[in-house]
Amino acid sequence: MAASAVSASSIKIQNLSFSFPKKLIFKNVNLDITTNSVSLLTGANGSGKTTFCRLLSGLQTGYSGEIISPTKLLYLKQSAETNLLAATPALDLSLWSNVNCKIKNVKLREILNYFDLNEKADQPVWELSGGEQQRLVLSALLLHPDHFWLLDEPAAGLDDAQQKKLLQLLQEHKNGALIVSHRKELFAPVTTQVFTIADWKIIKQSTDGDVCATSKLKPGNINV
Amino acid sequence: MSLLSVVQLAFRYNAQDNWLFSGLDFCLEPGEILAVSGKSGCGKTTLLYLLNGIIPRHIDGEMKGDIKIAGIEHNKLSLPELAPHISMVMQNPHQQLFFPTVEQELAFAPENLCLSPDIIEERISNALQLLKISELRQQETATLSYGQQKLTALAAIYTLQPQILLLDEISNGISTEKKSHIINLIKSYAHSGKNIIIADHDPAFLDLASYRLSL
Repeated sequence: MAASAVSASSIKIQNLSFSFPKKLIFKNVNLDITTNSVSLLTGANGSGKTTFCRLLSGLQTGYSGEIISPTKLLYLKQSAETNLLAATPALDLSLWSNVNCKIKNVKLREILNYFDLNEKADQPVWELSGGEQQRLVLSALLLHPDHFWLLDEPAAGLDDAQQKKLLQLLQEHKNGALIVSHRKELFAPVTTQVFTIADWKIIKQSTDGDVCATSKLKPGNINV
Repeated sequence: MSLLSVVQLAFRYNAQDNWLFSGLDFCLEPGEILAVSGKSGCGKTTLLYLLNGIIPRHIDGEMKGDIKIAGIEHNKLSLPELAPHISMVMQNPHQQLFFPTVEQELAFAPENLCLSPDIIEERISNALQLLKISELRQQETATLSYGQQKLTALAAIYTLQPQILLLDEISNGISTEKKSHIINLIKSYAHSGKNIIIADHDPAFLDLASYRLSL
């Protein structure tokens, strides 16, 4: 694929095929994922959603075809604890702030405040609940507004108030995201494209533009 | 007599000044479903750990109050003795699965109850069919997706047939189709006189309950 044909506004998947031993996952998948809006990926349990994330992020090799991405990508894996890097929320975010983070003079406590973790800043991460660990992991998004976000079930364990904060973050994000989730209705207000995995293909579903437009969240301020 | 009675239950982790919750009172009669709701970090998982005995046996903290299972003081039973009465599908399936294949995982509990091979087979195939995951039977647990691991963990506890089934965030990572299978399983399990305690954020699961406990 010639570099000149790469559009700056989408991640291009061309003739992607991938198999595990004894199991075909993808066969000749062709797909454009826009990098200036939020897309959703659904599919049955075991259909290959997480595998697709691993392929996009470069963690999974051994595929044929091409994945051409014009943007830096931040991948937050499905199970919160697999994303944790350090012993406390404050230390964890300080590591994230050193990974491709362009924000100068990061105020970690203020970032922890977005998902109401300021009081847990110095508590061992293994003492946090599942939902609190998930909120800590999502806090890394605030440090990487210039990345395309690849989020595998990001709302797991979040209560209603925290889900709204995640949606607001996605609503205001300029550099696109692919959300893997079964909760299509939850993310509908911010989603412009929906993809489904079926029979080793990834199909783009039509979305009702009017519904998306009228149910958009009101923009708010993110205090970081 | 209630199957489960909880009286003035309070708990705090070591090194914490504040009680996570206190003065909890509830009881369950056969067939009842209880939903536990509340913000993340409010103690839903901790409550389930207290009920199934992991706290205080493996996780330290200060506990007040009483838990009785079928009239027996909870702290007089060992974890293996408690398991047939009350058992939990954990939030994170990685913490739960430890056998090489799905079939072995599902066989573990009924084998340890010394059930006959026929009944063990019946329980395994029944659990797989209810969740519509029979095709996973011979699959290695390490190769399952997150959602498939959760379904396997649920099936493995189902083969134990505990009197009280604890479900911690069972809806996470589960497809809409599989959610409806789980909901059917919960309804029929309660209908057979068992109890289910659901800690979740998904209204489809919370709405199954006869009672709701907000922490």
